Amino acid sequence: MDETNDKPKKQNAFAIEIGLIFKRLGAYITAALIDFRRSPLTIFFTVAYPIILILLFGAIFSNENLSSDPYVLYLQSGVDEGYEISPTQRLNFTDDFITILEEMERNDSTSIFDVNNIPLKDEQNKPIDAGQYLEEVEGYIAIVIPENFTQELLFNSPINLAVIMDENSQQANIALKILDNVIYSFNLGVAGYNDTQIGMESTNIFLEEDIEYFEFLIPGIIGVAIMNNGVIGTINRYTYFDKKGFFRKLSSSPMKKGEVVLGEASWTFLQGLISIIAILLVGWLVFKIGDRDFKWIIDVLDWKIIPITISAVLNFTGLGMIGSRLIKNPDSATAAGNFLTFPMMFLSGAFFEVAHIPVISIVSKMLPLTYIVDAYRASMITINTSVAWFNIGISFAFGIVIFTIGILITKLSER
Amino acid sequence: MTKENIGEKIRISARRIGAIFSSTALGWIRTGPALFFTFIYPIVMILLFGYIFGAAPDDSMYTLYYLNEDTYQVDDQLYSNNPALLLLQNLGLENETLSDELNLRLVDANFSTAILSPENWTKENDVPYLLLIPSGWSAAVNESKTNVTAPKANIEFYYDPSYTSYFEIQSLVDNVLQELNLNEFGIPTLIAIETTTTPERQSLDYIDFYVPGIIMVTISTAGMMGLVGMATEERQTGFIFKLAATPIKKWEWATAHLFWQAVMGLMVAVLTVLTGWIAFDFNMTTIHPLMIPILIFGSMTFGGLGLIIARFVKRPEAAMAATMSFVFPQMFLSGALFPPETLPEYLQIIAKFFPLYYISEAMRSVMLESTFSNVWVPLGVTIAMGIVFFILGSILTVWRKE
Repeated sequence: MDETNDKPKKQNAFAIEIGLIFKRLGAYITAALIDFRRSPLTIFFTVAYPIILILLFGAIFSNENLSSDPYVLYLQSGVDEGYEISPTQRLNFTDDFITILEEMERNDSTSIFDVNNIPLKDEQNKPIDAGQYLEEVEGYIAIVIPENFTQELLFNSPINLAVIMDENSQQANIALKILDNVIYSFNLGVAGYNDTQIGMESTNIFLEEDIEYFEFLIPGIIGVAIMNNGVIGTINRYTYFDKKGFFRKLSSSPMKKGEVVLGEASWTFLQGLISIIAILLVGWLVFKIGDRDFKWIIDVLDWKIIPITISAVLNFTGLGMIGSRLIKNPDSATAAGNFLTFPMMFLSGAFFEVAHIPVISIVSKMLPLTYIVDAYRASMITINTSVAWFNIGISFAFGIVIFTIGILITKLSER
Repeated sequence: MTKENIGEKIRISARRIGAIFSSTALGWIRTGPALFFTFIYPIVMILLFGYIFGAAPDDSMYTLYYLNEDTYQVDDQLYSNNPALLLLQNLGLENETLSDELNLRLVDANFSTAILSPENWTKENDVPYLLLIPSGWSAAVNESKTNVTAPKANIEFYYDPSYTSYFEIQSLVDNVLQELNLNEFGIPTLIAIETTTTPERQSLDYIDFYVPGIIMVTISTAGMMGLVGMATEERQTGFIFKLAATPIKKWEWATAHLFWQAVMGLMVAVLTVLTGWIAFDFNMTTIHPLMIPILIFGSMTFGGLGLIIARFVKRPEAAMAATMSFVFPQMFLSGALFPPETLPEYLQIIAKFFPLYYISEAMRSVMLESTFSNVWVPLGVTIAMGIVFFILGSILTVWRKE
């Protein structure tokens, strides 16, 4: 008889306990929300910071926005008398070569090269060295065409055209590739071929999906924003609570450590969702609305965003909890958070490709942000389910380990 | 006012500046995390940016997946000339020396295009680029040798545009193809290119140009964050209001802090250079005495800017947010990490509004004798900015409660 009476009582007590847990969680989240509204740093990291990142990197790396300035090419050519092939026709390869360089155009009709002449002699009639001249004018690439180029080519080939360049200049390297192609075509032309017989067809694998470069940046920025919220936010809050004695007070309240941790994680998750909405809205307004692509924002929303964000929260709240155990002073909290997040931001390939850099590519694979960004990218942009789940799996594995360590080393009573 | 009075005033001011400077230094020494971050931050920055932005193309190793669908024989007839295999060999297949020279590692994709399209295989395997030699390509190449009207023999290159290195790999394959074209068709190479590096830069590596930028990025980030944090903290704790009741003057307080920033700047620079030298073999001969005034006035600029930001934001965390929103765009737009010429035109204009642009320009110009004559304008701007921002920061600092 007693047992049958006890069962509903136990069930009732359990329901009350669950209700209380939710109430305590709600209280933690409400407090965090009020603090969020009052704290410019949190608002900044949640909303403004990712917006700055998307505008900055979108502008820098978006192919459409790349500088359309011509490559400044310095050219020194010796006197070329040409070669008379008939009384009415005279070959002059120097003039032909310079004309080709000057007339080369991009698809938008802008010139590829801005050709500047390097004189052969200075005012004192001394010969001018093209390399020194290039350094003096702070140029990055120069080409030297030898004297009587036409006759040399016809009767003394092969001949070398000297290219002097600043090897550390990105423009010089691109300009050299273009010059290489010009020389190659020139060789074909002189040999009587109009076109190359062997070629290559390049295909953008996302051509059908019509993915723009900025879209590849969106997942990276979302990952970085959640990381900043999670790591810096948690370190800041925990060290502040510690200094103000809030944790000591909590330890004498019915609130358990698990509830504090769960409250913190839930709040980071909510912040993550706010960041995602802000980033997608800004990306859509800045990069898509002009193309009248109104449904882009719907297309990129995928339900897998939720598990990825949960795995990100586990990882970064966990890291924040670990960081807050090592840092006691709230003044150093942001610096410590930055110390953790700043390298990860660049090493994970969120903004730049790092897979080909020997040491970085290995370090990158040890960072949870790498997998989180890849999972977001595969779910939202490239729509690649197998890649998405593979990365979600690894992110969760990282997250569970880091979060568990975070819970284990978080101690309310000791604080 | 007599000469003695002026002398006495200067002596007292110098004593006060020295006292604030010493107390800041002592506070720094006694705060473990501050000490740790001062030393570890530049090391992390140089290693991070050195590896990412300073990695020379020779240090990279790209992985190119290939699928050779071209059969060696057709109808029992063996090709004596197999361009497909030749192409792969020219790309470093089974030739480690060439592979290292090209920085390219070939990996057999080993799938059937009858089951999966190359696009889908590339997507599903998250592969950056795939080279496909289609069936019958060698035959097509050999045919076009005898038949001038034969269609062009094309190989296929599939790439994921999110990997910016696809352009490098595409160019590399293109070059190898061009060479193959000339060899296969017996086209003489009448003209070739012989490249040399600009005379004074022959002994310099990528990293030598990045170290000055990284030094200034570190100083601007650490300096501004440090000063803004300190100023808002002193205001919040009421310390700064207590100073108002002492004979210490605002400019003395600002001077002491800016001196401290300059000393920190020099320490950061030494540490960055040493790390660059140990980790990346940074060329020490590029160091020039003029770098010291650039560092000092650069530190003053960022210190002054820090004081200005601290004037307008009240809470330390808000100050940090405001600093980050300035520091981050400056880091990428000023030319310290990327050459500004590669930015879109409107960003190049915006870049000129950031102090770091002129400071980086000055630092780079003094490195080489040939560019030394260009240092004076950015150096002048750096000195002017240091003085102006210092004066503005001192004037705008308020000690009373508002």
